[in-house]
Amino acid sequence: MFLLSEDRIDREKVTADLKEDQAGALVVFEGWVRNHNQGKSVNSLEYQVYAELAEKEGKKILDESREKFNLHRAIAVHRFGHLVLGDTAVFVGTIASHRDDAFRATRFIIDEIKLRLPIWKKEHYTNQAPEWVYCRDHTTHVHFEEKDYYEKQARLIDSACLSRAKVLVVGAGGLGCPALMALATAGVGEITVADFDHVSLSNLHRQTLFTTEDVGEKKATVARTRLSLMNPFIRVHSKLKRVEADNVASLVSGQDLVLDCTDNFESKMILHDACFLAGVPLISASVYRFQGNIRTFLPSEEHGCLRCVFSATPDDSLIGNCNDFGVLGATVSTIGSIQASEALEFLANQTNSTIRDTFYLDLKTLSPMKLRNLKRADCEGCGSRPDLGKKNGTDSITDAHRPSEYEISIDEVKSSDFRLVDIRREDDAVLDRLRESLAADESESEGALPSPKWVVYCHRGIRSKKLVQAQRAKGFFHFYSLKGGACSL
Amino acid sequence: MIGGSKKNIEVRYYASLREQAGKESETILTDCRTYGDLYEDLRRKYPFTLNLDMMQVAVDDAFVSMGAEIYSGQRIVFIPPMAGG
Repeated sequence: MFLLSEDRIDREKVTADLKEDQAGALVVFEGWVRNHNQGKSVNSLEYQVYAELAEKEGKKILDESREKFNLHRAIAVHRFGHLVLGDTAVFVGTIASHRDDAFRATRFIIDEIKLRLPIWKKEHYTNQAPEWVYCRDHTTHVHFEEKDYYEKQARLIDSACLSRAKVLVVGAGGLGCPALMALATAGVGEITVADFDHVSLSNLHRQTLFTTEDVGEKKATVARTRLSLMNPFIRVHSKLKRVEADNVASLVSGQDLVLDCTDNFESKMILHDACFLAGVPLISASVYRFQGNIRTFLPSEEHGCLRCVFSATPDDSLIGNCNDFGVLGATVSTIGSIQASEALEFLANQTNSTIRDTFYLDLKTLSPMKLRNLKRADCEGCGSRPDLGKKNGTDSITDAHRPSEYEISIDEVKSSDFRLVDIRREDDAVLDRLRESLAADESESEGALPSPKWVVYCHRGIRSKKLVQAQRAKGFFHFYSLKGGACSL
Repeated sequence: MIGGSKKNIEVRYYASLREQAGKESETILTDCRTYGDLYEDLRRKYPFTLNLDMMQVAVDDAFVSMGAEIYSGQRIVFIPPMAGG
């Protein structure tokens, strides 16, 4: 029984209903009007309620609690209108066969009431103007336990690996929606959604993160909101951007993995080249009508790269896309889910099934194909004469971003005017601090000082390479990384 | 061309090629030397719209170079580029 009441709550009367011979425990919670909140002296309270919705939702909460905790009965009463100090604002009472159920159910009910009911509270203070207080700010999700969320997958995958991971998903469309949902609900700790587009009605049959209410909204923004609601234990960022040659380096920089869920070759190539140059693994998926493919690209080059397949970007207008040839929700959802599954496998174990082979699946005939990737010796990307960045679309990925340009050996350091900087005991912001100190020197001397070249080194040259690459992505080219790190000194 | 140089191969088509060829696969006798030659030859038979430089070819479950030589008994799959999503 759920009630809204403008009158004082009569405890005797309400608890009279909480009796049953099978019941072994009664737990009662009362929320009272107290004389202070967050340092302010409170005189009285005022509650406003959207009654129709509150009654419906309140009844739902009680139904859920009875089911979840084997209750015999549950009662909740919420006051509205004007309340004075000492009044009971909320009453919750449950009876169950065992005390544990009654305790947990009562806690559940009051938390859900705070979270879900459309009830607003205004506090009247002793010596300042009254204010509406947003209860959700300090009570949200208190009853949600992270380990409960992942309970059913804990035997299959290491949640700690996933929660440490940073993943960029480019494209929140037919592939991106299912991929994002699978990554978010599996607990990938930090997800960035990049998409420049708006939700349209013709997206909804396949882009499962969106509803009719979202038509006209930015996909990345809606995706962020929805994913955060699906899993409150991760962080989701949105970038309202189309992947272009001049922003791609900063997008992929610092990511542990990138998912290409785009629908055109121009974007696929730009993303592939940037990931390759930045040393970030990439899982790319595409569909054509009832067919799809998935491939993982590693910067290690052992199994070739996308430039081994296409030295120039294929003309999108010749291939056809979803607009030209149609697309089915079930097909893209399957391919996007397999892509996410490959991503989770890679994050957990640093390997997966689509590194060595490209996986093709025909949903019409259910015929799968795994084809061993080809590495081309004269490839412009990973071959003996790399020429990446000078191809169409990617002109701005210049030589300065290429590892061979900023990774230098100890012999080169000795023969030239470099300053060695040990970053083994420094945190990841060390290069930002060095850059600031350089900027300060420059402004003092009005730019007359020659720019120094700093060679930073860590233990093995892996972390230093990543940090230097990040600086170059930001357009700062004074840093170099010592190949092999301190081990080479 | 001596008669013995004809090679018996199975060709499979994928994505748009499947629609343009009107079939998933076929067995043919060919005297083409490379996979690239074979694709150009098939283009005379079917209305394939994609140029050779956009195609990939796989033989017996591995991608190979278009310039590599065809042998009898091979299962050859032509795969056009896919970019939808």
